[in-house]
Amino acid sequence: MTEQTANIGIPVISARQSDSPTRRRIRAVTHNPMAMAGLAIIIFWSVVAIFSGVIAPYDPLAQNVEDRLAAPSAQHLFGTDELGRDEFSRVIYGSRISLPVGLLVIVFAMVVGSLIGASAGYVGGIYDLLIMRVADITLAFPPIVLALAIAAVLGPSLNNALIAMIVVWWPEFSRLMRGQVLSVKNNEYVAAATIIGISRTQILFKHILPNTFAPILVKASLDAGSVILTIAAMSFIGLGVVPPTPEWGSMVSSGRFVFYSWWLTTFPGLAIMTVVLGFNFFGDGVRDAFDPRMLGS
Amino acid sequence: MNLFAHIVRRLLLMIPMLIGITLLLFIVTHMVPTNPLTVILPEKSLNDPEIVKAATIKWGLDKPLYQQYLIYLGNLLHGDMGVSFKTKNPVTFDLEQFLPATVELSIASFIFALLIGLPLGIISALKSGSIVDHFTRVIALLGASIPPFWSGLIVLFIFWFKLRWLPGPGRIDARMAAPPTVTGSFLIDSLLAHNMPAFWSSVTHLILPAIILGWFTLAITARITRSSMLEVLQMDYIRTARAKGLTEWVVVIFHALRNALIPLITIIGLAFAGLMSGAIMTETIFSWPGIGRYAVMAATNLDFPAIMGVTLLIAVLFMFINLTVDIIYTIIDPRIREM
Repeated sequence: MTEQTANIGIPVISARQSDSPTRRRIRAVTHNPMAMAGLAIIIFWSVVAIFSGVIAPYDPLAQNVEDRLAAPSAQHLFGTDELGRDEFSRVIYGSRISLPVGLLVIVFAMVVGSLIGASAGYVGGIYDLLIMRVADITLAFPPIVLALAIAAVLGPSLNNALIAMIVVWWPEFSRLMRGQVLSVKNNEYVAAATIIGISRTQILFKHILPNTFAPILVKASLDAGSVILTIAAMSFIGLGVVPPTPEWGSMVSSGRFVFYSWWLTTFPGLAIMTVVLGFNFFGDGVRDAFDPRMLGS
Repeated sequence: MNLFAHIVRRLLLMIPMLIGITLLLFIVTHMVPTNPLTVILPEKSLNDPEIVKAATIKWGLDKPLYQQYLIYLGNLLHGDMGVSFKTKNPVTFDLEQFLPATVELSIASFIFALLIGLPLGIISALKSGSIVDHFTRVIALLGASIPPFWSGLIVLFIFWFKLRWLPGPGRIDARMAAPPTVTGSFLIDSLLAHNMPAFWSSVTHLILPAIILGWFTLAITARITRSSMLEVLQMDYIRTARAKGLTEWVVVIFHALRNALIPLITIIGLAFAGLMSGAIMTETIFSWPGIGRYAVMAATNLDFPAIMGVTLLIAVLFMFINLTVDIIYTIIDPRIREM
């Protein structure tokens, strides 16, 4: 488009109006180099997770005390840890925990939070009031602080860390979904559906929810990185995945007491960073695609 | 007065929130399968019915749950959060001991974040698309992606272990006595005591944790400053200022920045949540005796009164910071009061 058309106030998108909005958004993501770099990183780690057994040269749990705390070499790319386990294999196998666990938490929080939020927005009244106060109260805590308390109370294990994370993460999805439902609820097509006698549940699932997904998915992709980071942090403290399972956060933690063996903290930390960076790049790209104000800024 | 009524209303709304927060915490710490007695008592005493009975009565563990909650709430109103299972001190006392270190670290990291983040944000808005702009974006993304427990270890390894430029974990040199407590801040207290070596030691100990903790705040500061500057720079009054023939830096500093900073105030609340989460990790790495480390100790030791106390303190601090931000915003931008 020329500069002139932009100046006289014709919307910039006019040139592309033949496209559907969804297509335009997908193109905005695929044409965003950072988002694509993020996606590449995510795909890379997913492949690593799926083929861990093939890629890893050693058993991640096999100890070899004679070869303990060996520096990186051709034999052990990332060196060995205090029990002589191959650090490279452990980092490779670690992807089998961080990625699925992060996705599981975000999907559960998204589904549970959205359903609660949607029902609150649609039903309204006392139910809505109660649900939203519970959400407010949960949001009054910084996420990791409450997750820490819950995980501590339930006892250190991966499952409990998962539960703690979902408990902490659902309210934001609920709030978002509730707002969406409230704004969609008063549209004419919903009124039309009510008039022709469609049940409330059907209206909610068939007519309201499909129109509210975009911002929820954007939030999910933006949050995935923080979720993975928080789970790694909980394992680091000792309230998530427990040894000997190879998990990046707990690997950094066990490496911090053998300071001169820098490889024990460096490599699992780099793994966490790249995965989170990948999700953040991708999430940013998705957010930009769905928020036209951010385009081109 | 309108503003006064607004503040009073917000304060009143905090009461049900506070009750909700304590109730949620109480439910969380009491729905456990773990028997809290295993944490209160040494393993040997668990087989001694006399000791078990005495402890149960002392902690109110034999009463119905709602009574335990009411006892807890009543004690809380008297400033009593119970006694820590682990340190054997009243939790309130512990928190008083640990809070100043966190406050000092948070303020230092906030200053670091603003000193670096503001100029980065301004320059990347003025030179949008330049190298500085890309650099800022990368710094911001790294700030949200690097695990602080890892970056903390890496900087310790480089600047303490390898280069020996900066001291290791802790608030002050282990061979030095802490300055006599007046404010709880080692920097201020050592100055008040005219103890320059202690002051210098505290400053050098503060540098690494403040940078690690401040990075997240730096990231949001730079991003918000950038986008809000970009918006303001397109305003008519900026064009007017330029048309008047003012030099570019006068326009940027006195006309644009002043208005661009308003949205920045709202991020203080957000940044505080980041600081608290970061403090948990940073204080653990740097052996910093603050409430973040206290929270980790409490959580890993199943120290229920301490967990409830420290989590409650953080939630209440969080609420008050958000309230303060809200009030400052209302004063600056009166349109909000009518909403």
